[in-house]
Amino acid sequence: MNGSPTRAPELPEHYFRHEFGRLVAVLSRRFGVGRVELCEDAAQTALLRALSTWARTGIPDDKGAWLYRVAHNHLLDGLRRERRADAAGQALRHEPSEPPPAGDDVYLEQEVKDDELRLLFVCADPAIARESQLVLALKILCGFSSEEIARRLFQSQDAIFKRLQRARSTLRDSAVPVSAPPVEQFAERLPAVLQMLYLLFNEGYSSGQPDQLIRRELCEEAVRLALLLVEHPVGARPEVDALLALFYLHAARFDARVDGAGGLLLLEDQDRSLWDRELIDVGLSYLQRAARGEQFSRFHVEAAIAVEHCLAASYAETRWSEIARLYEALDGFAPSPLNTLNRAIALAEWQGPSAGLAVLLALKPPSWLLGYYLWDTTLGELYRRQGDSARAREHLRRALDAAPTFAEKALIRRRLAAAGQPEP
Amino acid sequence: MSTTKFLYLYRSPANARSKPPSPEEIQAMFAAWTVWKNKFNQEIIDVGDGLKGGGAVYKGGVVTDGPFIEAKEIMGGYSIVQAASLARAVEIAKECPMNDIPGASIEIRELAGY
Repeated sequence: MNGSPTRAPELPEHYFRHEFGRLVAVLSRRFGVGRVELCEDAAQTALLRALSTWARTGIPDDKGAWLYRVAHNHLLDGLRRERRADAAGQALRHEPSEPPPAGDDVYLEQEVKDDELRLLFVCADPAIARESQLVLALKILCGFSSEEIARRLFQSQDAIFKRLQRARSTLRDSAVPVSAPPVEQFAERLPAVLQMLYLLFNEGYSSGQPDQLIRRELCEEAVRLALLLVEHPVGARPEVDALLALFYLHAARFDARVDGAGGLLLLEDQDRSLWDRELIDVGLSYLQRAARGEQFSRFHVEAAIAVEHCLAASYAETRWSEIARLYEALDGFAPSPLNTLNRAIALAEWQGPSAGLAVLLALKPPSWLLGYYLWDTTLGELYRRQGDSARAREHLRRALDAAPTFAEKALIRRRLAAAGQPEP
Repeated sequence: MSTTKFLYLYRSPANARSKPPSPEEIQAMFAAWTVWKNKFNQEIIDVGDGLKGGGAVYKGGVVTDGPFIEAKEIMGGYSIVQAASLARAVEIAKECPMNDIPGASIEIRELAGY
């Protein structure tokens, strides 16, 4: 960036972060997920060793195996110390037999991928709260520090730390045996894993934050893990294809959602030429694969909605009748008043603001929805189009108070101006 | 042109880092050190190593836990640089990634060559 002629020999982007996850995955297969914290320490030690050694000697050709050897030996040393301390104290507890030394055959690519996938399923332990499953995966599989997770999920470091401690202690008590079972044995956790990846992607996508890049990493991690999943027999299923289709169709529009100043742009204001056609094509091919067989999931419906947007030549030319129908279908899979809200928006585009308002006014919104800025934003916008500026302003002002981020507030201020309130 | 060897001693405040660096930070540090090393490839003859905490001090026949637990500054590592002059060695030190740590210092000492 500073025009310096010297450049570091490249490690792949996020190499250490991803390698951390791979190390923990392989180590916890060999030493048991109950010892995941020791595995994390060993992975961290190996990366720090690489920092000082590789700076001197250069990056070794077998860098993955190099890191694994260091981490494995560190973990063995730690366990030996632990055992000696035990022996010096009371009676020697029964310990699982020591794993064989790390050979050159243990860091095979396919095995590592299986290990990562197993760890992903381990994170989806039903005994761990949903939100904590996500935090755990971000820590041990994606290699984020608890501070980095806190920044990305808008939670306090303390909250993240507590979630991690609880999740690790659940793993210690969990029934996952030290002899790691094949991934297939976790197949019943597939819906929970998909839910986790969906949540991970949405965390990265849903909010227009000033710091877009770090949010985007969450989306990239969701895609990376979903790709691991879809390549394995346990994940080669239509709903996984549909989830990937959904990810790619959203990712294609990532850049178009913000204006030059980092402000959020509504779908109708986006420059569609900025949408990434290549990613849309990837999404479409996954959706095609998802159409095989009888299975139809909520991810199919959501991907179908995304396709409608991606293929529409303009906002006005969007097939709003189709989108309204799809939101109704989605409500059958995952009932939520948000589906009704979205259906109302589609109906308003299709049949006019009164059609949308009728749906919203017939809904008995739960209190959380009443406090949600998009509820008031939508009502305000539909009233404005109906010509009822007073009601429009009332709702938009409420939306302004409830909007979580600066970008969203700026957007609502523009709407307020359109409804006849001068901008401050 | 005569060249002289210099020892860089890296010190940083004991509380500079309360948490270990994350993998992403480790990679950024690695990139920074590699860039520095490559830029002054002819002069940095040993990029050196970091020093672990702890250790021992032997003094007057007595061994104590070391080095200096209550010290406000800890010595964290070293490098060896061969440079034409102290001024040149200072120039190289100015670009060392060690400077990214708040409060860190680099002590530059000429090796006597006894």
